[in-house]
Amino acid sequence: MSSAVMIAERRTTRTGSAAVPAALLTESLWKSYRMGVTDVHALRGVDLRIGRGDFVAIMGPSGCGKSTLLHTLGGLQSPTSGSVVIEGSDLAGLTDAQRTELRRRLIGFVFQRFNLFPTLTVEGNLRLAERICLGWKSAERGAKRRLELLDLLGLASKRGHKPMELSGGEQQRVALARALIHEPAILLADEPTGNLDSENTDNVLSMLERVHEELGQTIVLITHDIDVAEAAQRVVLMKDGAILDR
Amino acid sequence: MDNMVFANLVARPIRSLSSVVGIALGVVLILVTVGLARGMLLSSGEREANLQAELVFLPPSGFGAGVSAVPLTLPVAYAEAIAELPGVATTTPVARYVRTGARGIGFELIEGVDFSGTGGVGTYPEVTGVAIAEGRFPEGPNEIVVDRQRSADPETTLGAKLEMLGETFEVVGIYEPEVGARMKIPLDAMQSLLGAAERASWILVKTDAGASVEAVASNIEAQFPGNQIVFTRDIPGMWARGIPSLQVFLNIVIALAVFISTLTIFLALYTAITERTREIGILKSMGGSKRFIVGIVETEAFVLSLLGIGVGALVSLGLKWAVVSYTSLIVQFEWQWVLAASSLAVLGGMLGALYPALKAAHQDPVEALSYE
Repeated sequence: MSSAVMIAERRTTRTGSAAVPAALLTESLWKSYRMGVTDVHALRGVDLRIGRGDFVAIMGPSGCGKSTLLHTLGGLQSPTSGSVVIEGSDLAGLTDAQRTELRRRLIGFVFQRFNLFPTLTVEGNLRLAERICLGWKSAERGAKRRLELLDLLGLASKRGHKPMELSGGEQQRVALARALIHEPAILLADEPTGNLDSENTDNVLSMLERVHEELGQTIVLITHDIDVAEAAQRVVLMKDGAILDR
Repeated sequence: MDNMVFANLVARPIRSLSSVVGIALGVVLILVTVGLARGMLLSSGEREANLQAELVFLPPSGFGAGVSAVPLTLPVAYAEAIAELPGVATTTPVARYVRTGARGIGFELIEGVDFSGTGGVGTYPEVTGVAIAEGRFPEGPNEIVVDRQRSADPETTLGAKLEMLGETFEVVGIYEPEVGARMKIPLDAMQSLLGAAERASWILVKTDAGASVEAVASNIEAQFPGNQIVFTRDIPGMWARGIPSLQVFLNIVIALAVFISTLTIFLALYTAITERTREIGILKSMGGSKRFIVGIVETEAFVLSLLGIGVGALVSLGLKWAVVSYTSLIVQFEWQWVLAASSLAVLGGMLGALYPALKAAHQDPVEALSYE
């Protein structure tokens, strides 16, 4: 079966329906910033439901609020109003420490600029994530998972390299491995292919698809590239802080 | 490199090095200053303990467990009078003067003692048990004897000449054991040079064998009220406890050392945290708690402190060697002070890292992630 047919098939699956339990749910979500004397509304009443196991792309032009939505979905920032529910936990009722704990347990982030620690090796970057997310007590589990991910993402031979010694595509795969080290329920990817050439973009997207198929994570991918969005099962369009199409 | 703390230290070698040097400076400051002070006190205490005399008779404010000169205010005639008291075997007057140390570093004590036993009292050698190992005792006013350690200095080796109190003295003998000041000149020469004829700083009292030292002390006190009587057996303890003003000075040095350590780590880590704002944001996005982030920064400070302590200890040992080799000073390192200097360095380092650590822990993750 060709990948184009596979994508077409996946796109016909409406996993955003109420039948599947929600991994992420937002209602009337607003996020405003004060800039001088003006209020800038980055999100304007966003209602969004993403089911467990969904692979959703959020698409829109630069400045439309995609990244703000992703950061809010991941609990990195609080909404001005409205609610965000992650796997049944309403962020509004959580303290900063509880949001951090929830992020540690349920969320994995991948960023456009990879955001790897340049002084650490590939293995060191993953170990750090293990330590944060799994703690010292799960060292054995973490080590097993690390080896599996390095293998799955084709990085086994690069474990001793530092990020600067890797190609952009490889760095993003390391970032992906790091985000998945603790088996998060939700993977949030902010323009993960924004800094990659087409070959590496295809490579990373196929890795995301593979991760989605083999590990079953809920994936939310931010992009402004229609070709990238096509990797997802569902595309959500955003403009001026609001959702146009779900 | 798999460990973030060590990776950060290695990745920024100049910053790490300057932090280590700052911490080391604090450690050196404490160890060497305290070592010099303790060396002087303990060495002086040990030398005083070698006195064969049992009592020291002093004017009201004249105890000499210090680095200052004791004014020559006590009439030498007291020595003769005390020698007449029951239970007293003999006495000898001593004058003490302080001059700048060899090569202008530190200070040193010089005593004027009675080598000839004029005036019906005992000689210094008789009372203290001091004997000549090489050369002879002074026979003229411009002659000096030194102990074995002082004679190791070319400035005061046997036969050398040195300037003191505007006069030239020749080293004519080396005495043993080490007792009191390391350099001794005739008492009358010191009295003459200081313009204090027939005066001394204190009087050493040797009691008869079998006499009760306490009873003799009480009797002297009764006969010469208002003066001080110190048991020589208590002197080492007095030196070991130090001198109140010296302790104040040491406390200031310690506070300064802690301040240097704190400031060094604060500046280094404050800059580092600003540089690493984005990394803090990444840690937060990964679910790193405030405690975890504080832990990372504080661990970095702890490791820098440990390295600083190591370097500081090595430099202090080097300085000790140099001071002992090239001056007449003694540097005494004691474990409790090494421990104190190490603890204070760690405390200063951790304290200095606290504000940068808290600043990092409270950074807004989204702002941190967008930091360029």
